[in-house]
Amino acid sequence: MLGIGLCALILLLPQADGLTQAGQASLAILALCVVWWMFTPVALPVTSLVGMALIPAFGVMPVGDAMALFGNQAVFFVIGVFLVASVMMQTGLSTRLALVGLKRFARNEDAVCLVVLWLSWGLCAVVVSHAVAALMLPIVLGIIRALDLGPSSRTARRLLLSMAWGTVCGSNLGLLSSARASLGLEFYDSFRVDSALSPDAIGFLQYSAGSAPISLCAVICAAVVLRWWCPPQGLELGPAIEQLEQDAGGLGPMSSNEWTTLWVVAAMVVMMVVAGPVYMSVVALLFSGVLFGLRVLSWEDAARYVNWGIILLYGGAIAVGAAVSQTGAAGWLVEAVLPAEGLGVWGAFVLIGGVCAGLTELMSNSAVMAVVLPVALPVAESVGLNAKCVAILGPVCAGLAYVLPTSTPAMAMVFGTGYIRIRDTIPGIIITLFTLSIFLVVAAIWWPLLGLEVNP
Amino acid sequence: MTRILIAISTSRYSRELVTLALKEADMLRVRHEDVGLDVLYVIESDDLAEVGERVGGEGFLGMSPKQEVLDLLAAEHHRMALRRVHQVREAAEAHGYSVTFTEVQGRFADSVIRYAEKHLNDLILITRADRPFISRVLFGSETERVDRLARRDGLGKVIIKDD
Repeated sequence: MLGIGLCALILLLPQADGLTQAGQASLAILALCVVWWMFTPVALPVTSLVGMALIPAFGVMPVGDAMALFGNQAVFFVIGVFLVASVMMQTGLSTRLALVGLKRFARNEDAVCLVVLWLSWGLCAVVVSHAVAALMLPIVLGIIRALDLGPSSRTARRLLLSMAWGTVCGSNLGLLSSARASLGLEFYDSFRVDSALSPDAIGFLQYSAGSAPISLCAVICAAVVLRWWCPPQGLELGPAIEQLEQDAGGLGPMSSNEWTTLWVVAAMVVMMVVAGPVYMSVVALLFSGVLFGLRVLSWEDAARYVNWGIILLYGGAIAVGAAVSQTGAAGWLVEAVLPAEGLGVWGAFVLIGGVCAGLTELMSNSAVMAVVLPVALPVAESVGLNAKCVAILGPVCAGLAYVLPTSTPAMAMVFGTGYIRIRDTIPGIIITLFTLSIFLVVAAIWWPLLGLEVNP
Repeated sequence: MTRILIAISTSRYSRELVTLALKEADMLRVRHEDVGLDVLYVIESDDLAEVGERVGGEGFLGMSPKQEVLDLLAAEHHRMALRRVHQVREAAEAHGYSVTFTEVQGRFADSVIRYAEKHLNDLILITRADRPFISRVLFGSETERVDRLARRDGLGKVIIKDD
């Protein structure tokens, strides 16, 4: 009711100077979506669909234009990202990689926890982070069971947090690590075309090279914080190593499907780099087709492993964002309600990052993108901050979710085990603050080398 | 016979609760009453449903990985139930009491009230879940709901042990 009330209130307010009727209606739709994405009275994709349907219903755009916004590149790229995740899970390749890594390096308590952290982080380079959390959870609980640990065990808590925080850090490794990254790029792309100011799109390599160092620093910080917060208990690891060897042995030799998956995914990543930003979604779809063609993946598997509601969420969210942007409502909001001139370039940079990091603890990180970026991009432009940098800043900061169970599925999973309480995750704030600080250093020193000048 | 119910769950357990239950039992025994201890372990289905919602609705993983995660968590909660019941049983037997154990899946307050009605418990001991005060104010408290329902239905006295 809050969302509907807010939407009605904005619609009924007298029209402000400089704001068109269509712009006011688009802000009303955005307000409804923000409230519904935050409190989820209905599933996230349903909110997106309602938002998209309201665009022509409120006269913001003609029906054809509004529906056409659904068919954007991000949607098709995300299809590829999730199909890769499903084939990695379905063939067992990702589980094999995790077990082999653990078996090889797990020698003592510190090493086991570190390997869980680094594997959870590293696997996100090719598998979407939520899927990594789902495949690492049974392995970590297997170790906890083998060691007969209970909820009061520091090592159990460290293992679970290593898995969760590893995937949270890993979600910022690259474009395949999370779906929100492609959403950020799509918002930037529409803004770039509409404003005709920023010349080129962001490619696979540029995005990954920009976000990966921040992700790396975050995971190093997570390792230090976890070592300090949950020091080793002095456990005898024999039973856990035995369990890992048994699990790894049970997988047998690598199957032809696993080899095929490995080569196809590797080739896809190379092609995404080579083909450039315009063709990334095409490459993702073509290689997904190859996986189906080689019978490594069937449509039934794809349906079992992925909730395709994500397509509706992304399509609708981008349509709502585009409506706010194209009606000039975002620009009006920046000029009339959020004057940003006094902030300066770095002030706006910190503010946008901080808002994304704060909101992500409370709502879905994809929803954070849909809420923040349509407004943040014109804010950036108004203060002279490179909008291209905001397209990386937004998704990365929306991934800094280390504390609350509501923040990401990985955190919900570890809270769901019953081993983790809120007080155990409070040190996650240290990682968030450290990552935000390191972000400034990376943006000032490293990004210009990639052609990403914060203050062009 | 006086029956004491110790109701615990994955997020509602403390050693102090067990100590308090045994203290109450000892006081009753001093008054020459027979005492029996029941342990009810509730696997809170709301908590698991919430995780499922996050994994499927926000992480966009399909039915297969979502169900695997839920099965895994349910199995882990069952393992935890057995560990905790073992701890209660050891402590109770050291005081000379026998313990019955029941594991159910459902909403905490409803499960406790249903059990207490069926087994005519005279005393119900529970502890709060570890969650922020603000969350309790906003979304209500299951422990206080047990207390309210027990009063309404004329069941045994409810003791809420705060950490």
